[in-house]
Amino acid sequence: MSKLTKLFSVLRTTNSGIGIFNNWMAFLTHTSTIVGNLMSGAVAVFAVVGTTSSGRSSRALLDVANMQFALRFVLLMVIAAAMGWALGALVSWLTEARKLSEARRVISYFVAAVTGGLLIFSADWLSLERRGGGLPELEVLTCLGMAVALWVASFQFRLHVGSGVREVIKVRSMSLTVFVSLCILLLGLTMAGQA
Amino acid sequence: MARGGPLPDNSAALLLTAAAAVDVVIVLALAKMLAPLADPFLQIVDPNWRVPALFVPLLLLGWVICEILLGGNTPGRFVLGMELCDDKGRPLPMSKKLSRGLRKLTTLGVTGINPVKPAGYDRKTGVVWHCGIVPPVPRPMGEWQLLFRGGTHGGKKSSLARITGFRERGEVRFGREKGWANVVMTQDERVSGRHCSLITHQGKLYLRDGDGAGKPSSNGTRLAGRKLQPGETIAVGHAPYFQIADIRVDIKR
Repeated sequence: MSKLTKLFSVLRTTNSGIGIFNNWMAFLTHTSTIVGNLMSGAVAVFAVVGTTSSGRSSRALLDVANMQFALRFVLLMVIAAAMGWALGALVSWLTEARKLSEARRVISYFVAAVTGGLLIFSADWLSLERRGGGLPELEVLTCLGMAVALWVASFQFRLHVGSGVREVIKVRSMSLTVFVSLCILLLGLTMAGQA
Repeated sequence: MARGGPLPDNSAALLLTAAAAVDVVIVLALAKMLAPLADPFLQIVDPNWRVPALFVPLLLLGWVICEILLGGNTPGRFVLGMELCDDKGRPLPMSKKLSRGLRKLTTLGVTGINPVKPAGYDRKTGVVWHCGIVPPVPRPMGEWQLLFRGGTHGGKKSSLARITGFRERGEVRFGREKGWANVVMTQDERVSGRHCSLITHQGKLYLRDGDGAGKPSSNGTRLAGRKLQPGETIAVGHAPYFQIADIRVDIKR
């Protein structure tokens, strides 16, 4: 065995420090994924509870009708960021090149559709009916929410860029397109319902 | 260089669709906001059709502004981190952006509605869409640059291929000893005579502490903050910098 070959054969053992660092990064990534998912789940529950309780004329968890636009705007941005984070992290995890399968691909699109639906649901919940020449809150909140969610999701994809397998990129692009398409579809339906 | 790598054709088409959808919602919100202000000018239009009557010209105006004046940058593409580049990954010059925009306008963007192939105007102007969700195409190792943050060569930048040792042996030696080192650091007292080396092996770059014959450096070598064991060799991987004693050297890929 040549001297150089011997030298490189011991590299595996000397790289243990970097291995630990990678494990920590993986742990942090998974933790942030779980937190992101919990946040978006909490937001969805929050939205449902708020809507249903106000429907029953009991005291709502959040009194959206009396909340200032700035507050509702900030709340939606937080929700959109959580949705984007969850979408990006889940789809990144589902589309790891080694594990990509037909089932995971379908689940990715499903996750994108659900987050898109939840985003429009939240925007609809947080926007008040337009009075006279007021701000078209539903459209404004939707377009800004979509932008934030897409930015955060593509940021997540950048973090988990991997080896750039063509099929993985396609599924991730498709997921973002499904997310946007569902947002547009539900926005159209919501607007038609308001008209 | 672009922030990401080149998108495959079908993925670019999908992301462009998503970006266009975001832009449409922005224009819709704008049209709804401006509709009350434009009421005096839209008296002849039925009140129910005032928003669509404003939406269509705003969409066309936005399209012309984004494609011609902003060189293909739209809010949707910005959000998704998409960038127009040439086939070598360099940002597209303004003249080509303008040419692409004009070609798109002449076809009213119809040739761009294709989920699997790049648009005709993109092909004809040699445009490749780059995006951060694709890993960037790495440059050849010889083109990587070392930027010295202090010491004798502080502020100097050099590509690996321009250093003699790298060209001849695939190895760059750092130290104070003139006969041994390729990068001689005579004024740096904390640097050993034979301090450390960057070595290429099977297309990868490694950092080795010491002279490679068993004599380690006196004040240590670090890779991205991690101190190497005396005489240790470690893969550089994606590490952005290394330290020769207390002198930081950035690796620009």
